Amino acid sequence: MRKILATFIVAMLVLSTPILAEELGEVKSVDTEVKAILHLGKGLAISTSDPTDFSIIKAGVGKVEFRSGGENKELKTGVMFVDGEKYRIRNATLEEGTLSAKLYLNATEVGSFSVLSTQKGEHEIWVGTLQLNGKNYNLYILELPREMKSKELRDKVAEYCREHVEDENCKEKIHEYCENNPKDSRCVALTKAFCRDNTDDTRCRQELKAYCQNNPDAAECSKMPMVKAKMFCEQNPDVPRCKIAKRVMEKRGRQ
Amino acid sequence: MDTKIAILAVVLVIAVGIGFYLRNPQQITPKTTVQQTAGLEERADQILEDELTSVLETQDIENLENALLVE
Repeated sequence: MRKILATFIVAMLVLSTPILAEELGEVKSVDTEVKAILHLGKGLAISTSDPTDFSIIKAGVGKVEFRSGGENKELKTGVMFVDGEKYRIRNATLEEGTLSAKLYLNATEVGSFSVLSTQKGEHEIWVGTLQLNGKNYNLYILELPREMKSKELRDKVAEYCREHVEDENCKEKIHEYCENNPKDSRCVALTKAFCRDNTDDTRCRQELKAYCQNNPDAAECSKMPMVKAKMFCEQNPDVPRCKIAKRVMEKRGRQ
Repeated sequence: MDTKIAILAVVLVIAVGIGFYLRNPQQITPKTTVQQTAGLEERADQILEDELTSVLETQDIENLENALLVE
């Protein structure tokens, strides 16, 4: 009888261990992918009432996708450091060349910001306003260059070719080839083609930057946030972030 | 002896049956999904914070390299 009982217990333990692990919170592996990096930057927030009152800003906003067992979930999220203090960025939107979001300290909403993309020389600069803990600031953030890594290039080319099988550059396993040969003309063309529809992503803006400086009237360049922002501000000159952007552009014009 | 083996076999069949039933979790509990996984926002925040740190460090190194080249 003891042998039977022991056999039963051992069989149950062996067969149910994976289930117990899941039940106890050991969730099956979750793959993560940064779908888009909307913004990575460093700059200054300057008090609107006292120019000597300013803070150093570092911020990152993006879309992260989690995949597990055929399901996925995409989150738009981020962090902002204000003089080293970390705030969570939530409800971020990037529309008409303007990035807006709310700021949370732990679970409490403490502020918000709204910045507009501008081009100053080679640099993309986000200008706008920040409200934090009841104080108002003007915000100037320099977009930091973040190029596409080879693994990311592979994923983006694969994603593009899944949706554009008619593209003659989309040969079988081209994404694997591009991972090791990013400078190949076909890979450059495919990366550019992917980036045309993904100018929200700073990696794509980086890819298109040189091309758009030489071809400002190209169709894909009209989708860049700074171009959309310029059009938005022409139609809405009284919006505060547009007024700040105008001052930045005017100063640029005087240089 | 034959009776014992027969009982053992029956017990094993039952145990295997219960084990396989448990391996099919959606039949007994809601499937653990990525939608339900706690802490995803924190993980996403951390990924973006790492990106930010990495790109800031890269920039610092490039600035240092440029400064050294000027020297």
